[in-house]
Amino acid sequence: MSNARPDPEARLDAASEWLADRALTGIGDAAALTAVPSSRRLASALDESLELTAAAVDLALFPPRETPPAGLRAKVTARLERISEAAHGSAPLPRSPAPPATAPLTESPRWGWYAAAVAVAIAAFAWWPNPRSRQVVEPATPDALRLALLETPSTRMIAGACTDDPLCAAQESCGDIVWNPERGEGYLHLVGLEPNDPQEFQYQLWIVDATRDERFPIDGGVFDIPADRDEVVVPIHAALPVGQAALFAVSVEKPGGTVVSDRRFVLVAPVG
Amino acid sequence: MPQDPPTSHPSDDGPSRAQSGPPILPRVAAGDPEAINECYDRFGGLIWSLARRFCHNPSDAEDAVQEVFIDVWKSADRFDASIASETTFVAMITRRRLIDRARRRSRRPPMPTLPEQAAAPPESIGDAEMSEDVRLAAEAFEKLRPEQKQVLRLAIHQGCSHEQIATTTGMPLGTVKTHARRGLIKIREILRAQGKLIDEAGNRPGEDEA
Repeated sequence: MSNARPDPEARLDAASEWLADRALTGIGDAAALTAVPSSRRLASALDESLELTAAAVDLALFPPRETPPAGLRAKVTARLERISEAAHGSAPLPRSPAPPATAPLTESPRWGWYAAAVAVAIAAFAWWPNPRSRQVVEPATPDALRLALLETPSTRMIAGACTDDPLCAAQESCGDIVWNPERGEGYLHLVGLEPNDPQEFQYQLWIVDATRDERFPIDGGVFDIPADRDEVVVPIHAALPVGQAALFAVSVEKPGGTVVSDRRFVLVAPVG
Repeated sequence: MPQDPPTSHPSDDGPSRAQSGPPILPRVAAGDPEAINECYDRFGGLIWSLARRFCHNPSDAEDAVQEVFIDVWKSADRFDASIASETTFVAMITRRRLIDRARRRSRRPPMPTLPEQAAAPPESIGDAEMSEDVRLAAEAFEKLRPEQKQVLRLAIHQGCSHEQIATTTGMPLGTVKTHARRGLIKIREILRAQGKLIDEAGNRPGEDEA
């Protein structure tokens, strides 16, 4: 019996149930997602049909009838105009090198050398005598860089769905990804995920690239959540160039991370 | 405190224009700056109404609306008119953002205080400006079992968790999950039988590899 192949209809149900949970509550059931074969997991994660269904039912049951306050139009249009202007010719924000992360990111040795070189360059630049100012250039925090990236063209914020893993603090945690595909730059933002003991396990970010074989997601880096932090922002350092990010996921892995995930997910963020 | 049933009439800034007029999201996707105000005209009431329902106070709702509009602006290129209406697409993006904010803000959305009459659809459906997929969703909803309707109303209204719904209704948690999932999936299948949520090539999103 244990060797029997899963019923294809049962697989579809598992995927649909996971999507239904996500559409209604923002939380996907980890067990349901795990039951979905890896060959279907990407397609399932990208499926918005049940979210669209929930939206249509919402509009049908609770038709929008409120009028926005008078001042809101100016706020919205100002922000959109800023984005639109940035997208049409004004100088893009300088790409900031990765600063010290709120949650330290462990990288592979190959990228470690690169990071070290960048760090040296940053330090050299920051301390180079400036004839016009003696101000010390303060490295931007990951949170500030995340917000700056959010304002740049092509950047998207992708909502993450936490699973029902116990590390998600009784399903009260959440997160999002701010990702700029043109720059290949992004930040993982997590709230309420349980702190980890790096000697016991670490969190690892994965990026499913639609231009690559889905079975081999890109390692986005290993990171820790300190015990005194309820909220962390982690710069994403993809081990390989990302062609088209389709899904971000955070898993629980052995210390140091792994090249093949155990697929114990705590957060899934389909790009859509 | 229970929310009053929606009784106000749409105004010029209101949501009634959400379902009318030529498509605007393709212009948004193309970066047409002239589309900014039109986009607000068309969806401002829709997004604001949803935000007021999910957010505790007007200030929070205003912040949420700004975030949603940025999401809409950046997601417009994904809109496919053959799958859903612009209104439903924007409502989906809005709901996603609001559910995420609600979880982030309180980690525990407030218990629903939904009066039954607020959820009753007959007065609210059938408007001439209602998009077809919304009208079909309303009809499909009426085909559900009463328990499924009850659970879905609570789940959709404020993104309540299964646990909250179980507490509110007294149903076992597993029953709530089953009603919510099966009810929503059934509505989707009814919509698909009507040709909705299927792209021009006939693909059903997410099922192309099945």
